[in-house]
Amino acid sequence: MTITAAETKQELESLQADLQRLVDEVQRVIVGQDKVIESVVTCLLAGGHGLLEGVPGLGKTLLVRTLAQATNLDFARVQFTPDLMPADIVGTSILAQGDDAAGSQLQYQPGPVFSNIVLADEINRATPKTQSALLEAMAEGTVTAAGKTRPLPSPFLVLATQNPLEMEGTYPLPEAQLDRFLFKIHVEFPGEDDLMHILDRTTGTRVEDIDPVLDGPRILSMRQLVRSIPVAESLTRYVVRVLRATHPDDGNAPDLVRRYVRFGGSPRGAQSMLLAARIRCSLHGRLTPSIEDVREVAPSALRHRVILNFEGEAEGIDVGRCIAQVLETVPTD
Amino acid sequence: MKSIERVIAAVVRRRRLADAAWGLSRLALPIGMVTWALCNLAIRYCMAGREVLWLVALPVPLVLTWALARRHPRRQIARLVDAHYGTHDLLGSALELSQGGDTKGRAADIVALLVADASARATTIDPRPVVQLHVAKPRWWDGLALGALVASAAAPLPYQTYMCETEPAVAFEDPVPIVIMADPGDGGRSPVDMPEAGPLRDNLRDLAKGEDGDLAARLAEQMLEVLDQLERGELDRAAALEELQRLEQELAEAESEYEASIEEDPGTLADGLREMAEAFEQQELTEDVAAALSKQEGDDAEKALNEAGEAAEQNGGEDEKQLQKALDEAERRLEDAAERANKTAKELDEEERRLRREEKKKPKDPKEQEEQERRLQKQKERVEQLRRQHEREQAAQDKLEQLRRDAKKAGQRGGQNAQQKRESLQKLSRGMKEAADAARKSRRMSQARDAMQEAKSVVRRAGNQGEGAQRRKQQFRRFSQAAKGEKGQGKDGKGKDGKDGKGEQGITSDPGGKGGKKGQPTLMIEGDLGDGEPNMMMEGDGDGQPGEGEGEGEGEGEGQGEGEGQGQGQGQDPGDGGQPSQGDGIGQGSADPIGDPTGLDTNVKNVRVKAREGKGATRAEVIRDASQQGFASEAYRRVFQDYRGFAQSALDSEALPAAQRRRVKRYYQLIMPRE
Repeated sequence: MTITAAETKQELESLQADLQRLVDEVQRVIVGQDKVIESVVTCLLAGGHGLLEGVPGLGKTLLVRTLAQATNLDFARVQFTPDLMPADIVGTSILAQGDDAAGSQLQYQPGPVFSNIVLADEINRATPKTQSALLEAMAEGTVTAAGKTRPLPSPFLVLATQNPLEMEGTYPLPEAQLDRFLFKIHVEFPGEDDLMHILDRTTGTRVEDIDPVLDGPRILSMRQLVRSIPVAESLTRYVVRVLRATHPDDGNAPDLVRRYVRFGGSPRGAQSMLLAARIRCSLHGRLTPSIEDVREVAPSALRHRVILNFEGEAEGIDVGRCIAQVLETVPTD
Repeated sequence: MKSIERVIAAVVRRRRLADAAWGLSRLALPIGMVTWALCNLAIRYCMAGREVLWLVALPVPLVLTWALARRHPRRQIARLVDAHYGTHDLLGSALELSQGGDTKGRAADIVALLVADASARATTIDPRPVVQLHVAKPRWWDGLALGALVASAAAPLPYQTYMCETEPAVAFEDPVPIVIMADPGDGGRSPVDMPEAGPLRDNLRDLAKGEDGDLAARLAEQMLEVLDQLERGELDRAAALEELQRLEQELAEAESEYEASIEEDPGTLADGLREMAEAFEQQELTEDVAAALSKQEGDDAEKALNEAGEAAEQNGGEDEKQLQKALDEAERRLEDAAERANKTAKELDEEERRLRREEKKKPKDPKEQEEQERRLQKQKERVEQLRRQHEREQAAQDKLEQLRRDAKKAGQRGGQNAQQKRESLQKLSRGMKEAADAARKSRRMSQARDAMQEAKSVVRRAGNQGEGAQRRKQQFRRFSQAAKGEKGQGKDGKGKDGKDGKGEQGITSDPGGKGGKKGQPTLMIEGDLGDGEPNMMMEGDGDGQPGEGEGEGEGEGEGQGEGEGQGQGQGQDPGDGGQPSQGDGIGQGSADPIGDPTGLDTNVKNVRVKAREGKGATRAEVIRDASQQGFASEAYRRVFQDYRGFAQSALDSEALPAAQRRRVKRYYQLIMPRE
């Protein structure tokens, strides 16, 4: 089947319109946090996963639930606790009573991970063993349990949350697992006007009903379309330069990186930046990404992939500052 | 695409214009003015033709060529346009992707849409605001270039330019011959500037304060006299060197005589005395003994110990306990010192073995025999030298052992009456005096030798005129200022009228005249604090006391601080009085950091220091700060003398090659405190 230029144009317009409707729908419930919403939608379209970090009460869980409702996808929430076991997530085999001839049989009972959108709430409270149970699901889109590998429903999106304040009794995510997240999204505290709106909406009797504006197949086709958006070679080179500049031994690395960074971003970081830049340009009604798009998505794509050295940790250096300096200093041409 | 190309070409043209405007105003103009100034000078002074003025215009074509030839990548220009109009890299991406050509399917469709979009947008773009044309604002170097041009135009014409060929030549009369009259009084010698002789003079003055009949003191005085004569121009360098060589010869004879006469190794005795001083220093009652011993002042030490004994006998109680403890400690330390005194025994054994081995060897031919005899002779001399040294060490060891026994006897509890104790103590103090005198004599001899070397070196360098010498002099002054913590002249005790007055704790005591009024002496206190031994230096403003000078304004006075601290200070005070007096002072204080109250009217400043956690200052920072704030030159002088004393005793007692001896001596000459 050949696609004509007119059809492509129509598809692009439809993509932009659908994305706008999705964002609008989520914004009916979530006040402010426009960048967070945009980042979460980017994760959904990129087929990546998001790690939301923010203090309690900022609406992280509500955002994910709303997104699931607006996209008409299955939603499961897992509250991670220290005693949560891997089987509680991926599922387990139970003894089920069969018909008379066969007797009792082991039957696989799928865990909450078999949903389109999984909210892993306070993921850093679970033990590394349980955290790693999500690794295969996030990377491969499959789950191996009871000796059998099972595919997860598509689209599949893990949105994890963690609280940056409470470090007592937590298990920080290992670098390998952090690298599986497309974005690490900072959920900022709302401003005065936003807080006013939140109070207005949540302390009255009004309840917002969310209408589904997308569905699973539509999301999958949108994913295909955004991946076909062309990117100029100079932009790809810029992405590469930015990524390399997060490594302390690179020639373009700025002072902060040279002094305080142990390891820079992995190639997944570059993939995340470029893919997210494509999605961002679509979200803003443009046909191709620009350097501005890369600069906008770079902090979310890199902040969990850049690892500070001991001096950086001791000095309390913010990784965001290092990335901002990288974006300031790396030449565009 | 054409519309995009058109926009880009227009922007490139504007860019070239902007480059040319910038280059002409920023580069060509100042360079042209400087070139013009140089051409002016060349025409006036180097007989250059007026054609060189064409060079003034040279920067213009160079700048224009650069502006025309400079590359402007189209992608960059497109990005510039996008950035100016906020089109999110629309033109740039369209330009780049349209030239890529390897996009297929849906991506190719999107590129086509993009190019169409960009072309439509390009038709609405005005390229002029993208690149602003402006003339660079004048900078300081433009002013400099203009100044150079004006100065070159105003430069006076040389004599030759007045010599017009048409004018008649001017006939000059023969000038009156100038006769230089030699001064018959000094044989044509002139005073010699010797800025580096200051520290040497100080050392020599210190050395000259010895007892009557002390050779080192006499030589020091004579060396000072030679330096003064050289400086006044009464001697030339050759004569001064000759005089110094004569003195050196005298010193060498005295040294060899002394060498033959000494029975006990002075280095070992000095070591023992140092140990005793440290032992006595621990008790308040015997602090004076410790001070005298550390300076190797035998008479003072004897007197102070006898006084301490009398005080202990009269007061009993705590004083007696302190004396007892001091003597016990001294005995223990002397025992240790005596044990390690025999340094050369092992070396002597080794050399004797080597000599015996050498003697057993049988030469094969006469040449080898001759060589062996030479070696044997050298070896025997060496063994003889070591044996002498060994004997002296043993004698010194015996002396220390005797002192130890005396100390033990004097410090014994019970078993003897007061009279016996007194006698024991007197015996100990006499022995101590003898040892101190012996060590002191050796040290003074060595100081005289060092001063002699330094004097010769100073005389050799004296009067070296010229730019290099001037530079060295300036540098020397700068170092001196830095070492004293001065930022400029006229501070920290450098008055205009006064000269080298000396006083205690910054007080210039001046009994004869009316004296100065207020000065700003610097008070520096060193003292023990707590368990450790930190040196604490307090610096404060103070008022100098009115004083009176001696003689013609070169005053020397000593006063006594009212606290526990004793100090030395340098003050300046004119002899005829009425002028401000200023002084520096260094003193030793008590363990209390504030110190006991003194009579000084000082403005004490309490400073609260905020501690900051961290790695602390680096070595480089410490050195830099020290060089800016100044070194404690007086403390360094004392430390230096101690160290040189150690080195000297090592040189005296150990067999070292001559080259190494010279090197050690040279090293100490180089690090000798200056001013």
